[in-house]
Amino acid sequence: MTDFTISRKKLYILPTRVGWYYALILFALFGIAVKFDNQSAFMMLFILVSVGLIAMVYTHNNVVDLQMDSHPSKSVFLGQSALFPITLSNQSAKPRHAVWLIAGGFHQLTQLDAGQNQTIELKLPTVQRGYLSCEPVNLSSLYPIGVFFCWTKRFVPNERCLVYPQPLDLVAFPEDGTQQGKEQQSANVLQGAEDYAGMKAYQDGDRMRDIHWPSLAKTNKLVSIQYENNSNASVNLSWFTLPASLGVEDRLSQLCYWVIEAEQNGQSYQLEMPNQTIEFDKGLVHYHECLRALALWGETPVGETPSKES
Amino acid sequence: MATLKNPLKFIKNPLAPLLNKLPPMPSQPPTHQAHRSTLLQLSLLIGIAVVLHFSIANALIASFAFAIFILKTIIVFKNYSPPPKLILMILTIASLGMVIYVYGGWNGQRAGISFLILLVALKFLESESLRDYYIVCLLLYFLAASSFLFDSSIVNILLVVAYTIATTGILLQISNPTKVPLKSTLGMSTSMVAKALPLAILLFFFFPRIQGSFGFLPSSDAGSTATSLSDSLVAGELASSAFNNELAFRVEFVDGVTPKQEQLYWRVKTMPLEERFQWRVSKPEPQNFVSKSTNSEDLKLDKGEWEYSILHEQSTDRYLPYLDYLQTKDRGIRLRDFSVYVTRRALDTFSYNGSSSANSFAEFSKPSERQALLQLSSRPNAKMQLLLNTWREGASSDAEIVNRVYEYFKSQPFEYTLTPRALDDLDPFNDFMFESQSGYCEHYASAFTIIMRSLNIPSRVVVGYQGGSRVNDGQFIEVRYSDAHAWSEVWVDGQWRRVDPTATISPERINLGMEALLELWDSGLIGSNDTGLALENLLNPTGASKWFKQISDSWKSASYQWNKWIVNYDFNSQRQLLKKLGMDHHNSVTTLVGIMSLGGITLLLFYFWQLVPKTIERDPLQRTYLKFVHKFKRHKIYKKPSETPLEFSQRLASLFPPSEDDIEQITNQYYQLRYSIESGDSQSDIKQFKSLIARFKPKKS
Repeated sequence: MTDFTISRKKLYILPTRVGWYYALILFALFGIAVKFDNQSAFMMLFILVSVGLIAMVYTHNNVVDLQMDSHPSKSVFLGQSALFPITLSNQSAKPRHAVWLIAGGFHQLTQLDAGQNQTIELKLPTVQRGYLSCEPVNLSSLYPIGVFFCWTKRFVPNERCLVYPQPLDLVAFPEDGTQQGKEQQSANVLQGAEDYAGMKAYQDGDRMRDIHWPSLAKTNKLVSIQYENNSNASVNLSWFTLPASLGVEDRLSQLCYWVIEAEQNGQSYQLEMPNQTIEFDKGLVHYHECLRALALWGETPVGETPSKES
Repeated sequence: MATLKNPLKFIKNPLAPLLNKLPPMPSQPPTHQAHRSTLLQLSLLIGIAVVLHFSIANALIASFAFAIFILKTIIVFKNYSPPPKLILMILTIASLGMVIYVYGGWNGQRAGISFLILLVALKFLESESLRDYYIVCLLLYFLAASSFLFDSSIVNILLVVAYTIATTGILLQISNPTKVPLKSTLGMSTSMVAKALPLAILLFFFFPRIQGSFGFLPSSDAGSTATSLSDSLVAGELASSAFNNELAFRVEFVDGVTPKQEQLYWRVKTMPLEERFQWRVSKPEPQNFVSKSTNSEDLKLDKGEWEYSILHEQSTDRYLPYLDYLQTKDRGIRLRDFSVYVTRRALDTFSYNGSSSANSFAEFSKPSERQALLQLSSRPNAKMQLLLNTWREGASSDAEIVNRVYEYFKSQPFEYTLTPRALDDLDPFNDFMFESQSGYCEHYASAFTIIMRSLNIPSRVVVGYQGGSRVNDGQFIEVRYSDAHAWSEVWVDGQWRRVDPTATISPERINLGMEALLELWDSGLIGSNDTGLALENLLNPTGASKWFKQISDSWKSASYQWNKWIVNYDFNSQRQLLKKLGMDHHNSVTTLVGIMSLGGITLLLFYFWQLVPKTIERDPLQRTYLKFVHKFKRHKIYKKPSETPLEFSQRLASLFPPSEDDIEQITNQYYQLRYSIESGDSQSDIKQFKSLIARFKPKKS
């Protein structure tokens, strides 16, 4: 998080191409005024010169004293856009019009009322797993009449986005820790094979068919039946069980796919990597830990992984 | 090869060292499509421009431009794509051909402006991208400015400023990808132009005026609209100008010392050559030029009784009006006959200063000159001869003869009329004297001068203006072409004397001026018993007519000031202005540029300072609370704009369980201080709140 106030010194302003055309027109007008010694043309010339200069003041003031703030970004899978939230705040009593937020190839037009804050998500493409640092952000404006282009010194947000490998389904999901290559059953069949595990109070989201209706009649309370899928209770997602023909990135992609699958199925899973093993567990913390290990494979030495979690 | 390349590279981009110091420019934002409503507005603006230029450009060209404009408007309206390149090319060639056909070439202002109109229309037609529309707008600015070559009146500049505001409004809309309501756009552009005006005025007055011209620009059309007094006086021709109400020039007298109405004889040219009742000017010869050095004792070059500055409208005349009799002048060449000749015609209105006194001083006259002023082609007939003899007989001096002739005109039933009957072709002089006996000023001036010459008194006809209408209680005098007048000058007692026979025949013409006379004639009251009453009404208007006169006077006054300070602003007026500001003889380029940049930068800095966005003032309580919010920055916790302090505190409590109580206390106190009415001693409460926040430190479990 870096506070970045666009002070006067961080601001640059140059005429645009249209601005140079404008200058050309003014020069031609000057020639006409001199040639015909026409004072009204002189007056018009000076009005236009002044309009240009005033436009410069406006362009400058449209950007000056804005504040930029960056926020941590959420991890994404390779191929998705990394989103870096940037808060633009206008602490002044003047509205700002047509301000462009530019980072890399990303452009976002925005407009701020007096005293307004706005969070804009910079969308940056991901091309590689691992950490993606946010591109330097420029603020620019052509307001009001497009003859001057004003831009700021680069604001480099101290944020990075963790890009997980792209999930790819190349090899069938391991049925359990030991058996491989077995056809995976569809989710519905899997549900049918569930074993009775007990009763619990009804919660939102429980399936209608799991409600134990006789209990309702007796106790006037909704009770649902709980099942446990013993056969798929745990799965070992191992680097070593993957076919030798798969390259490193493909292996990571496949493991990533499996991690997502296992988490969705509510299974307990273990990730086995050449340099580390993340023990059987489930839940979001475990899920992200596994994915980070995959994303940072080959980059960060084990044990030095940052503790940050989004 | 490499040694060659490097210096070339350096030359190619002289800005390179400068640009290297700037941080890299971000890629330009993507362009967008102009909004349709913006384009329709632009189209309307161009339509108005084309229509307004009907009066300037050739009708054929204006119609063509209008047709193109209609085509484009349909395209914009129906969202069609622009016409194919081939059609555009044909239209371009056709329009070029048309300009050449109509004006016979490129040179000339009208050809230039016609071409410009066509250019705007064609560019508008082919426009597709944003940049094209930008260029159309810039061309519109240029077109508006170039209309000044034809009309510099105050009305026109107001129109052009309105036009500039509208065009700036279009630029505002084009450069903003989001659509903005028209009202706020126009408000914005008006405020921009209004802010630009003081700066423009400063630049205008202090920009050093340069003499010179750029050869590549179209030359001006030779005074197509300007009027002038003719170089010859043909009986009956001057009368036709009585209805030409066009302004000839305006005069402002220095220190308000104004001559009486009957002294306002504006001398323009003398006509010494007579032929059958017609008079002509003699071609100015270099030996007739009076230079200051040779004739300084003759000329007594001190200021005359009346000092004045004249603002002359555009004219093709080579002679300049000055009040009788010229003492000093600052424009043109003085000729022996007191007229002032210019070698270069002014393209536009111009101004100059002069001074005059009522009495002419002696003028050296060679015998040959005297002889030339006695030449006659008209011969008096027998009846006239008799009269001449009676006048000559017993006269002690030339002055007495002049008086006798003048008295004769007074006694005879001569009639002053704007519509005299045509005179006999063979002998117009005698026909006028004895048969017609009615005519306009030129008849009387001619006749009187011929009589003088027949009596061996050197004389000549003078053509100029007489009178003029006083605006705003004599602040300045407007002289119109209808005030054109002719009189004669006779050489008596070693000096020139002005004799105006018209004054005896129609004293109203001289005392009241042509305007009043025309009005009297109009109402048919002249000569009747009501003349006195009518005159009274005319000179001291009451009620509505008085009010009307006041309005018309203030309008005339504004227009005069406009012309004096803007349209005719030049090197001399600039010097005058600096003199008024206490900088005598300092209108050097350095001083002017100094003033200009100093003033300009000051004004721009003022705008920067004035327009720079000011931070919203937050009360101390809010600022203190923000300090509290900022304490969580270190933990990457931010208050979302949408969150209320209470919601924020709830979120914080879950994240910082050990500090839960503190957070709750602070939030409660904040609410209490901010929203409760019964917060007693707020100052000490805020102080306590401040210390509470200063002590607070978020603790994570």
